[in-house]
Amino acid sequence: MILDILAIFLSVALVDNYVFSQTLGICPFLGVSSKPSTALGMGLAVTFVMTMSNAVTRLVFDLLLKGRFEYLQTVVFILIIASLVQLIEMMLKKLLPSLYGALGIYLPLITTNCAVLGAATNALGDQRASANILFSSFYGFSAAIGFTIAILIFAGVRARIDEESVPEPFRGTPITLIGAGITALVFNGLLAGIKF
Amino acid sequence: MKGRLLDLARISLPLVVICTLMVALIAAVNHFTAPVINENEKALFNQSVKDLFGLSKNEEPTVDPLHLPENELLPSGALAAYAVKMGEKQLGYCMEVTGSGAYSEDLRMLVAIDGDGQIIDLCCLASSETPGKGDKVLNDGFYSTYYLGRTVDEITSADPPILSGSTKTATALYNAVDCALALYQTLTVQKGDGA
Amino acid sequence: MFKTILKQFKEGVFDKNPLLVQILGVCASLAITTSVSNALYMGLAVTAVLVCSNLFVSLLRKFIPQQVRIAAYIVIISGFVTIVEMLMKAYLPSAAEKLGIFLPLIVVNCIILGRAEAYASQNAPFPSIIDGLAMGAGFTIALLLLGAIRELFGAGTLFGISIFGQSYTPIGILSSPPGAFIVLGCLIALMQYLKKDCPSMNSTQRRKSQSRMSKQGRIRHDP
Repeated sequence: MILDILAIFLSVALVDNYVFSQTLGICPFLGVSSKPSTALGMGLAVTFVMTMSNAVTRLVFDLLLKGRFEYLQTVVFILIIASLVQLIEMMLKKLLPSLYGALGIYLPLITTNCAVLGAATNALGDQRASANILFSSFYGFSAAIGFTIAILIFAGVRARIDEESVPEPFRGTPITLIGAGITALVFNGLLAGIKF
Repeated sequence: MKGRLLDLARISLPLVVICTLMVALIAAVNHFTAPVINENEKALFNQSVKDLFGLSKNEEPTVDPLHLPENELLPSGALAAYAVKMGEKQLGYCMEVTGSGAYSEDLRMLVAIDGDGQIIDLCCLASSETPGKGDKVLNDGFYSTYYLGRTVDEITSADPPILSGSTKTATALYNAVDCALALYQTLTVQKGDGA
Repeated sequence: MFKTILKQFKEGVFDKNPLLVQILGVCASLAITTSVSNALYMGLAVTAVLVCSNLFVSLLRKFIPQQVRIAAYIVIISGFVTIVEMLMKAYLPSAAEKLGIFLPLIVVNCIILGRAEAYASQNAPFPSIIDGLAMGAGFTIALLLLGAIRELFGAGTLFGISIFGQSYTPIGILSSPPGAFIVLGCLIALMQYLKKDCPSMNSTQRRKSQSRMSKQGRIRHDP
């Protein structure tokens, strides 16, 4: 039980990190990583949504789709995620305006974050995470923590990149991508040495 | 109030129509593709079994699913077991198992074991991550020489092999084979009890 | 007529290339371009979805209410993605297996939603189909480039056929995710370099980007 939880966390948050090793959620990773504070905001918003969406998609899959309508999975999941994001946005606005002030602008961006749909789909196929709805939700949480770690690390790297003089064609996205590649190399290389 | 309801209907009606339309379209396509997909999976499975037992194209083995015990003896990761016959001749058993690596990498494998408990061959049906990765590990040489031709008892009594290289997939592969061996032992022990 | 089609294609492949200029659909591009054949299948799948969804959105553009248009687009797109996925699983099972989770994830590929919103919702069906084809072609070509570089140097093969022979030691990093980031970065840089020399880029845009650069001010110039 505890071993399973640990294994899920280590695998999706660190070793098979969604950004660096599975290359999911790159758009917000490149778009919102220019400052550590916005990176943290995006990371928290994604964590919030991903934990919820993994629980809800799993519930709906078990109750409605399993067996007969599995081919509707993608359509139903993306609709759930889109409406969940809307719902969370409205609820935050009403109930926790301070949190909404911090996360509000990132929420609409999350619908098209492929890490969210990816986590929901992956959790169904994962041997450990498919055990029950709590594990599923925890899988989403771990993946989002991995995303947050990645985006935070990279925000720090980007602060340095922006200060350097870069050859003209490489300015903007190219140097950001190359920086991301080297960061990913370091991240993956660091973890490859750890064996469980 | 009435105006608002009308507005709501005007907005939601097209959405409902589009949803129905798309679901109908998907269901229609699914109606045609589902049998083909099933057929494909069956063909892949049959081909893999043939490859495992080294049968030629025109030889059609009979593959009977074996009943798995539903108790704690069943190793986790065991999916199915089959007895493979060629006409009257018993060729051996085929274990369908999944193994997960230290992390999330899952491999779905077929392990062929003959009547004497000797491992004939292994193959990988699907991998949850990069497909083909499992084949790479299988083709590595180390794994084939480690497992092939050795008996279940030999392997289970020896120390586990030292895993090197692409460790994530290698661990998954080792776990999958381990599970197949355990499943074989469970099944044969059970049979021994029955006889 | 023919000229406008040509112009649309030039836009899709070069001026507004979805991957190399608009930087959309990066996730899938990084993940599946380990080989040229994967890149080709992914490109074709995206093109098919793009053409179908553009056609549908364009046909229904007067019927879809403004307030719920994004939801409607998402339903249409995810529907076609599912259909393409099922067709590939049925008739190209090995390709579907290779693309794996990135096949359903075409839904969240921003190119498709972007074209539905920016083009198909305002244009007639026929130009929308052409737009889908052009953007799809641009995306496919970019994927093929990325896939070819990564497979050729990362594994020494093209379409699975050995090019450099046995003695070649593959540059393993290129076929891993970090390598994908780096190669894509270099390709985008090449595109920016080509576009700078290309006269079709209008001068105001150029001036703007230059002034932005000088405004940064922090750029150091090595002696």
